[in-house]
Amino acid sequence: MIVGVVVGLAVLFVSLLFRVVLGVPLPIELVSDRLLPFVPVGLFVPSLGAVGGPILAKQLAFYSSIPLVIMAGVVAVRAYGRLERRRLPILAASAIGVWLLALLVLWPALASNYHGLPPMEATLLSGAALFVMVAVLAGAVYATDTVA
Amino acid sequence: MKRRELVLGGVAGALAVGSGGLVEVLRRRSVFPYEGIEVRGAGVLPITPTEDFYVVTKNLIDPRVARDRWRLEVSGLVDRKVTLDFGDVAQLDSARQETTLECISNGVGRGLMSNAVWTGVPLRTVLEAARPKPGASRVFLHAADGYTHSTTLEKALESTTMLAYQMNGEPLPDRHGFPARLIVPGAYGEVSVKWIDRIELIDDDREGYYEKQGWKAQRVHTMSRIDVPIEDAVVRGDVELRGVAFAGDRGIAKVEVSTNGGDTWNEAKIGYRPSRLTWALWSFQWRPQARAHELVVRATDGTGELQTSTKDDSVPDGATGYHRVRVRSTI
Repeated sequence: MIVGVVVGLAVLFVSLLFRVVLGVPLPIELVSDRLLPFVPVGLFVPSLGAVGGPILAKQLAFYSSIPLVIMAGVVAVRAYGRLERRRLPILAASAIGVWLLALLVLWPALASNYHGLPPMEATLLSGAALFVMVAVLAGAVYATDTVA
Repeated sequence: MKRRELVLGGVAGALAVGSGGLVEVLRRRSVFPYEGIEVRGAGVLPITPTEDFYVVTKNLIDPRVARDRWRLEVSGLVDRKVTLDFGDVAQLDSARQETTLECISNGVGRGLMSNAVWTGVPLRTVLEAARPKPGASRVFLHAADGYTHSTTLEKALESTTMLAYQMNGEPLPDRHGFPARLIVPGAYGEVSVKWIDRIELIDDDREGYYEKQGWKAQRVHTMSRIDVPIEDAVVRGDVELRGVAFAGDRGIAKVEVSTNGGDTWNEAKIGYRPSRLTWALWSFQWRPQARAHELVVRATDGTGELQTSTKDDSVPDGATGYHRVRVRSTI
């Protein structure tokens, strides 16, 4: 469990660093920008009301995303630990698969940058940041497994 | 304790402290303290102080765009793609324009609306430099934070549609779109895109962020609000009723007040009405004659059209209906 938490914390730290220093959207911002436009307003507004209004909803989203990222580390460590043949190529291939899937799903939202980078540069930076996050996740999983 | 556990604990502690510090930085930059604060009540001023101007945003943390990095691209159905930096925009002939903005989610009697003096350049100047192609009928607006919205090319070319870079005589604050935003009079605030960085001229019905959700109205409904007295107030003697009225870019021609639930109407005095793009501040002197009164207000816009009494909430095209306030009197 502690290993998974450390891995999750590493990913969280990297994502926060990208957001603060380079304006790269947090995973929660990418996901919400990708999904929320497709939530019909007739459902969107009552949902905000149900959680106490837009500010409380945003606080809930922001703060709950922190344990969710840490949980991703725990899940990744558990999933890797269950493999019978734990090898770096399998881990690397899985990480690249996760990254490509994230690019595919989040693509239109990647063009945003909170420090004002133009869309093309912002897309490249967001894609690179996602790669680093996934690489940190995979690298930390591998390192902690090897040390164990 | 094993060495491995000590190392892991140390790494976890360092990461937790580092992450906590970064979370605190983001929390301090977040929209939580300022989004959704309403401008209403006895303290409403003709020009809303910049720090009080309402904010509604899709973001958890609004952008902080560096002025020297900012670019505005005009592309799509144009003969000549144009990219301007802030210096280019600042060199164009500027204009000052007082304009009221209202959020489409503003309910009857609520205060998600404010008035400011904006300085910038007519958007038409920028669009015409790109020479729109004959088939272009709409503009699709992009912002740094990924927000998008559309409006008609006709609206974008109106002389009052502005690319603004100052608010009340100062550079735009980050939360209001620094370094540049649109001001689109007559449309709800969602069209006045903040942190704008790209304008695409299009000939299709592409939908932006809130348009996909179903928010559709582009034209502000005529509204009016009673700011003083407030609901359930106890009044006595001579009372000055006060409030605001707004009709997008159509102006306010008349405000009427009823002190008996809408049975009879009296014309209010309009004390502030600088242009058809702003709210009007009204007042009405009144002496209560009974122990309970229902105050109601309605406005007539500059085209002579009376505000609709049909009560409807803000979803999906802006709230309508009369604002009613019940007061008690000691006579």
